[in-house]
Amino acid sequence: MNMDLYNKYLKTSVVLLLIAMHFAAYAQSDGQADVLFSIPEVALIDIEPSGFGIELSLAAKSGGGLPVEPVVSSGGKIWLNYTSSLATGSNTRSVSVQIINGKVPSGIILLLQASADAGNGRGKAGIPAGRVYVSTSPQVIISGIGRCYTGNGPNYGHQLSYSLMISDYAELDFDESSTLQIAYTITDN
Amino acid sequence: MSAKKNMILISLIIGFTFTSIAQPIEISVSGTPTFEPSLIRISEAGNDFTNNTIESSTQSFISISAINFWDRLSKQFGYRVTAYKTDINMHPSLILEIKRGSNRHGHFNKSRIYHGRNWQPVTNTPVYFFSGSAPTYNIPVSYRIRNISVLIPADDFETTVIFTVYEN
Repeated sequence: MNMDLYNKYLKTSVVLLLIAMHFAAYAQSDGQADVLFSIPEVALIDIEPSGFGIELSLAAKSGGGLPVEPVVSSGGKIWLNYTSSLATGSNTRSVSVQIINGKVPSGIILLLQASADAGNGRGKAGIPAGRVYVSTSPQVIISGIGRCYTGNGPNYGHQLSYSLMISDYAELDFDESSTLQIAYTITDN
Repeated sequence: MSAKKNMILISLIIGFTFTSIAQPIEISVSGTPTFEPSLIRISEAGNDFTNNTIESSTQSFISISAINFWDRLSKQFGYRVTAYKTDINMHPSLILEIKRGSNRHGHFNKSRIYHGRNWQPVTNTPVYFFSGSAPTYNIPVSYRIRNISVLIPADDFETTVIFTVYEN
């Protein structure tokens, strides 16, 4: 066999060998499993302590000619807790308040103020709207709620403070009392 | 036989020897992990999700076998399996973890499996999962998701876990 022919055969052998090694190098295989799960949107709100009523009254100061003063005679420390989970690109949420049963006595305005979040939870808590008049139409008391949880129980979330304001002395009736049911609603903006 | 044919024959023998030594093995995965939606719940307003780690209620199953008939018949090959994921929709805070179970079916009870019994994260780069020898069928793999929270955007998440088997 001359050298040219030998070299030609050698080249052929090397090529075949490389092909074989190529297959050997790729001695691997893949398999796959799809993993799917969902995180749901959540909007939950609660008042703590639960089943706790607030009593508000007007008290006359001693001495003629002095104005009567609104008094919070019991309760006064209730807390608004909430959990909010939002989808990507969703707007923030807000909490509104409204009277759903009962009527505020004549000559009086019922006010509600939410404090800033106590900071015991995590995420983007809402911003209080300041003091609002509570009526039968919804009034926003907290806005800008993002993805967050405030923590559960008294001293978590926003403290709610109710107060009375006399709007018209002429309409006051000191024998009148009223029980109100107030609803808090968390809504998408 | 001519010298040329001899050379080609020798080359083919060498080639088949290499591919035989390589003992190509294959992996197959069946079953889909399922996460029960009821696991993701909130006990009361103000709280985060009750479980920030959820485990799949169903498993997937890995089978390892040799492509070559003679290798399949014998138990003379070792392998290692790596795992990584490719995300279709996944949040960076969520951690996917896997572990294998033990109740597999071996080939004439000669198969062996090592490692992979503890939870380990699956990332976007391949990491060693477990190794073994001889054909083994239906190795159960469990999945769990960590760091579930209302702070993560609500969505349907999807990722694909890719298992690759290499010969040892």
